[in-house]
Amino acid sequence: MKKDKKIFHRVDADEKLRGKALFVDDIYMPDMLYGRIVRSPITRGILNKISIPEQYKKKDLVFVTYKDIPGKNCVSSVESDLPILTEREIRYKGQAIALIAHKDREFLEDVLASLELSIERLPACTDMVDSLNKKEILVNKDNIFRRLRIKKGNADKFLKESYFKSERIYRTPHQEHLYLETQGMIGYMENGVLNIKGSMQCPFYVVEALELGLGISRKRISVQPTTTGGAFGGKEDFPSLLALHAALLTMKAGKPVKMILERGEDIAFTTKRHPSLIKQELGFYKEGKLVAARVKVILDAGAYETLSKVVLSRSILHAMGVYECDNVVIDGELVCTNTPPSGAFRGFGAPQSMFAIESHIDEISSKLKMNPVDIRRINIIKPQSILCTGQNIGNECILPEMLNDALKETRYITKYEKNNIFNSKNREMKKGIGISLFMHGNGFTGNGERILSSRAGLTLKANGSIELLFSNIDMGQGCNTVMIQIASKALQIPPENIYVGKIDTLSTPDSGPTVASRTTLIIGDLIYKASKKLKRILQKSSPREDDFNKKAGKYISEHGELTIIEDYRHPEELSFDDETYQGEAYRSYSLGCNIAEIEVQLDTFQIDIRKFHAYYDIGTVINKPLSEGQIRGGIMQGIGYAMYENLIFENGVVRNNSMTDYIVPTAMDMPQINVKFMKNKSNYGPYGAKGLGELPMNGPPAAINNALRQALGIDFHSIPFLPERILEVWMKKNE
Amino acid sequence: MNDFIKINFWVNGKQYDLEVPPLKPLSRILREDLHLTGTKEGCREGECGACSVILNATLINSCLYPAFKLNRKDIITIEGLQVDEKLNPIQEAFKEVMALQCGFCTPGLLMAVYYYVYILKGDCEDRIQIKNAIGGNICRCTGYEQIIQAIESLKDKVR
Repeated sequence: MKKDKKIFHRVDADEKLRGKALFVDDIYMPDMLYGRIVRSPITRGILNKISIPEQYKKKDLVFVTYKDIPGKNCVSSVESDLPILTEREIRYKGQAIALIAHKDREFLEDVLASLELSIERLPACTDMVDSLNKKEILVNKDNIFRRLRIKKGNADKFLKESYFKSERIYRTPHQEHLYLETQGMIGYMENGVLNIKGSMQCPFYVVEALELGLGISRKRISVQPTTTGGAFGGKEDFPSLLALHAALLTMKAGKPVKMILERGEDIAFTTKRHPSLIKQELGFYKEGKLVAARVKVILDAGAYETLSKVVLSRSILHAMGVYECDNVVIDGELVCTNTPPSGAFRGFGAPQSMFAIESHIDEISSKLKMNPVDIRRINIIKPQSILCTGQNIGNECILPEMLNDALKETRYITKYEKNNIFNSKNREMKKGIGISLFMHGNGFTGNGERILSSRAGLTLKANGSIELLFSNIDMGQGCNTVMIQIASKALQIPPENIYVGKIDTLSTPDSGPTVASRTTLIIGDLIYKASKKLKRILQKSSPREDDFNKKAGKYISEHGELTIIEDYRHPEELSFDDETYQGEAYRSYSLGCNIAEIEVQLDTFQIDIRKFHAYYDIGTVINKPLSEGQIRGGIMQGIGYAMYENLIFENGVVRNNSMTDYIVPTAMDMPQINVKFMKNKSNYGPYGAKGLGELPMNGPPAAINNALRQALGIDFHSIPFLPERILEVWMKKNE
Repeated sequence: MNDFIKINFWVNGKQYDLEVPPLKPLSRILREDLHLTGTKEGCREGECGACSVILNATLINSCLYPAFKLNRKDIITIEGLQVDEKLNPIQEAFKEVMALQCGFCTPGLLMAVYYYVYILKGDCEDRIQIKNAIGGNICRCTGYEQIIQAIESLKDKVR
């Protein structure tokens, strides 16, 4: 964004490279106890009694049950239905029953192994299909937490009249975040104030949860996020529960309590990406124009609803992918199963939808005897296209241009044709090239940002430096660097004079959660506006002075320090109806195109990605190396989701809950990736920037699937594409 | 388990005498007894590489290395990488190309790169060997490319 191309280094680089950054487990406090969670050993049932064997009763063991909860026994969320500790009902294996703390960790292991639980077992539904078939009734009348619908035109009529119809069902499994730092919290009391330090994305979500669960005012709660070792959505909602656990223990013990999840515990019992079951019925005119769609998106919320409604909402809003269609009905359902509650994960419902629609459109192209590119050209959104919510995409939609660039630069068509010839002659190895187009709505859905009403700003300090004030977490994505960069440009002062204030919820303004690709877009804009306001004020106070330091010095000597807080204002031209799902669901959409070139050996059925091309429109790129890091990391998680990551649930329990058995890509698995940013500018967001964080997660599974279709002539309707599953489908086809 | 053993070993050039349980892993000794918390624990089963340190000129997972084997061993941790508070060339290279994000895998990764570049005298232009060298370190943020670029940029800076 600057002419001199000065690289803005990560502001946290030095401390992280020296091993000096303090993560929650790096903090030791005198007299500190360790806390552990007593978890349900069964999948569904009724807890009658829990007791500690006599020999453990003294020995300073701190023991907390639901009876010790001073406030409401629930974790605040979109739907606050998850209990902090169960009173009677158990809905998933691993659900928290009680808490224990002691200074000796080994001793806690002994206690956990010998607790006496009296539990009545009930039959469970651990799979979505069982729940949908009402094998057991877990909640409501039909195991459905919630239904949402989007409707436009007349899908029934036009499906009947269409020239070609295609019906498919897609399934996607759980995905584990596998952030390198497991979840952790420390709680302690100081001068009547409850202090919570830990790994998290949303400090004010934690405050709200503590307020509700402990029944104390937020003026007596100080939440201070520590350096957060990766999150990807996994530290959006779960930290509220863990903070409550740490708080309950520390309040009972009167001593600091540290809770760090073991890796096995973290994989098995924290939130995961929602498994999905997506039914699509698409109708086309003869020339390949998509005329009608009936879609049903079913997400597995797990045992409690928590925030799943907003995940479902994003899922259905992305169900049509990047395609324009005049007659649409999209139904969303949230189903309850006896598994740990599903939660936020980069993409938040969109990756499931994008995999389904992009795979389906590609499959249809071969049925219509069309090229995968031509069917897309006819149907993709263009400037002024109308989305299923009635939203006009506006003039900034450069998808057709992006598609053209990607096809030309990768020589997709030539390679596609060459592969067909190669595959007809070669029996040991097959080649495929696959494309996916995708998008991601920026920021909270619909009226979300209006409701959040984020606040952020800055202080001109007595020494002339600028302290930025916001409560979003730099969990690796680099938002602290980006905010300094935005302020530096707006104020026209060197970045060295600007720093990010340490977050303490007692004093830092609430700039909302660090989620939904919203930080640069929303908070960056507030920082930009606050910087501009400061500049105006200083200009007014010394109109003839050019030097910032002198202007600032004069202002401070006359008025003292100055704090400016900007309040979020929702753009007036945007409106959304939460009932009918009509209107501007998102202010802007980031766009992407992935092209995967693969080879499959017919003796191993291992997919080898030879090249991966990645095109994005994220508006103005504020920091290129940081943006590339987000893109490459997101693609890696997308490749993992598509090819390796296979969380195996058996009777509601994760069987492979270790880093040895849950396979994620290593450096050796990563292909060469060419990243390209399109030139574009958004009407919203500082300097024309759009959202970035989640977008790269949406493309890889379909691109790889579509390459696999060309290579082997098979149609996959679920992920991951494990060699043994590819072999199975291949054998069936060649029977 | 309550029996303690006496061990004597070096960390970053400093000698330590400790009494610890014989099975206590080196990662915990570093973090809890010596307060060198730069070494991280990501899985405690030798899979993620976040706890990597150099022990007698070999790269090891310190979470799997028990106290009873530690006597007279020489260890380098992340805290020992920088000389006179200045970043060493590997750290500089990581900073330059932004080869880090959340920073949790970073200390272990730096030790693996240190081992490859300074002890094995590995080739900084061979991408396959570089990928091999960091193959035992899981990073969930970066997609590895910028890490590989950082190592490639070292080709003229070390030796």
